[in-house]
Amino acid sequence: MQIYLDYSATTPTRPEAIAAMQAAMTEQWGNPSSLHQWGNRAATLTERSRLQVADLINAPIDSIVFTAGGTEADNLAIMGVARQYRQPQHLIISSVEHSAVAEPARQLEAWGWQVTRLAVNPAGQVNPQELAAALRANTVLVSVIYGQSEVGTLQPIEALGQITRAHGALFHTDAVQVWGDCRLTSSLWGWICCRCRATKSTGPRGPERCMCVLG
Amino acid sequence: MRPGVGLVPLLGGGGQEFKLRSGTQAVPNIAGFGVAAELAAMELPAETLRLIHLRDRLFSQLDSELGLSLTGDSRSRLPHHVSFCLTQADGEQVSGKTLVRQMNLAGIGISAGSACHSGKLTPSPILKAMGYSDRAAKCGIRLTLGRQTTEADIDWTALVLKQVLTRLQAARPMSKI
Repeated sequence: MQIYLDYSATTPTRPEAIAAMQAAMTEQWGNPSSLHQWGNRAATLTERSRLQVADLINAPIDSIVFTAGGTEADNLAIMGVARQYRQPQHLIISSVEHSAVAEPARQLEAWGWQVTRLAVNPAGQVNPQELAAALRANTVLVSVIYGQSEVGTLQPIEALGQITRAHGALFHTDAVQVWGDCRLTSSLWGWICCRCRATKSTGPRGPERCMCVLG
Repeated sequence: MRPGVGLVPLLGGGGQEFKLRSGTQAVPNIAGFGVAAELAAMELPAETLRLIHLRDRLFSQLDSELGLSLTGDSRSRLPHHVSFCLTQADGEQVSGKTLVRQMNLAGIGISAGSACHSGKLTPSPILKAMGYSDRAAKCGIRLTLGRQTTEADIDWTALVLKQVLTRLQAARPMSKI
């Protein structure tokens, strides 16, 4: 008896997704940026997928940005925000982030940024009050993982997001593990950057993963 | 993105994906993602409940058995996620990696809580942040369920895990960590 119980690492690709990929390779192999019919077919398929992904997570369609994967999406959120500033600023993350967030934060720290890592309780949860106390005048971004991949804990994302928004900073969450299951309300979109990943919903691994940078 | 806030792209190039991610899109992968997302949107409400049921079934069969203690929050928790720290009755601990290997031999794929970089066993920074000792932070395991997981899978996994732990306990595995 063979039993796979590591769905948080990756999932088997479902046959419907494989069929769609095979069809795309056969029929929509054009470059979506090309202006001719081959390009148009690929572009139409890309936009249909963008709509399907946006629908699932209740996000505006033009907020879905396809990247090469979750790690790239996290890096785009952290570094993409940071690179707007000539001078180092303040970044807040939690002490239980995936390395795709923790490492870019460490990089920024080496470049002179101040980085606060919020402590967690023994169950792995951040206290929103501690976030409120950690915010500074130069805090430009807060990033807290939504569902922790190693210990399964969900963070109080709505509360953390509200506090961050009230302060005027940007909020990002690594939602790879909750993807498809995240019950983000539409009121949250507009200030959340969220990275999601196809493999946790039995989609393919690779460049199909999305990052939502929303508003 | 919030109005007035720009995001500086990591890659310079043709400006695809709203100028945020240059490079020709991998259309077949994107197509697969779209279909998976559409199916997930239809199936998730029922599937989430099914996974919670299976997760709790696994919990109830394993929790406190042979020194398994839950890591993470028991209520505010991913529906498909079960994780434990292994502490044996005599206080000795089994490394997560040892258990993953033993379970693999039994045909069951699980994960050690901590990332084992290049084969070296390091304490999990996540468990350490939660207050676990260096030693305990090497002893996390994770079982994550999904679409193809059945009740029979769960019951069999619980049985095998108990057998493996009993065997490891008899073998005093701490010397191998």
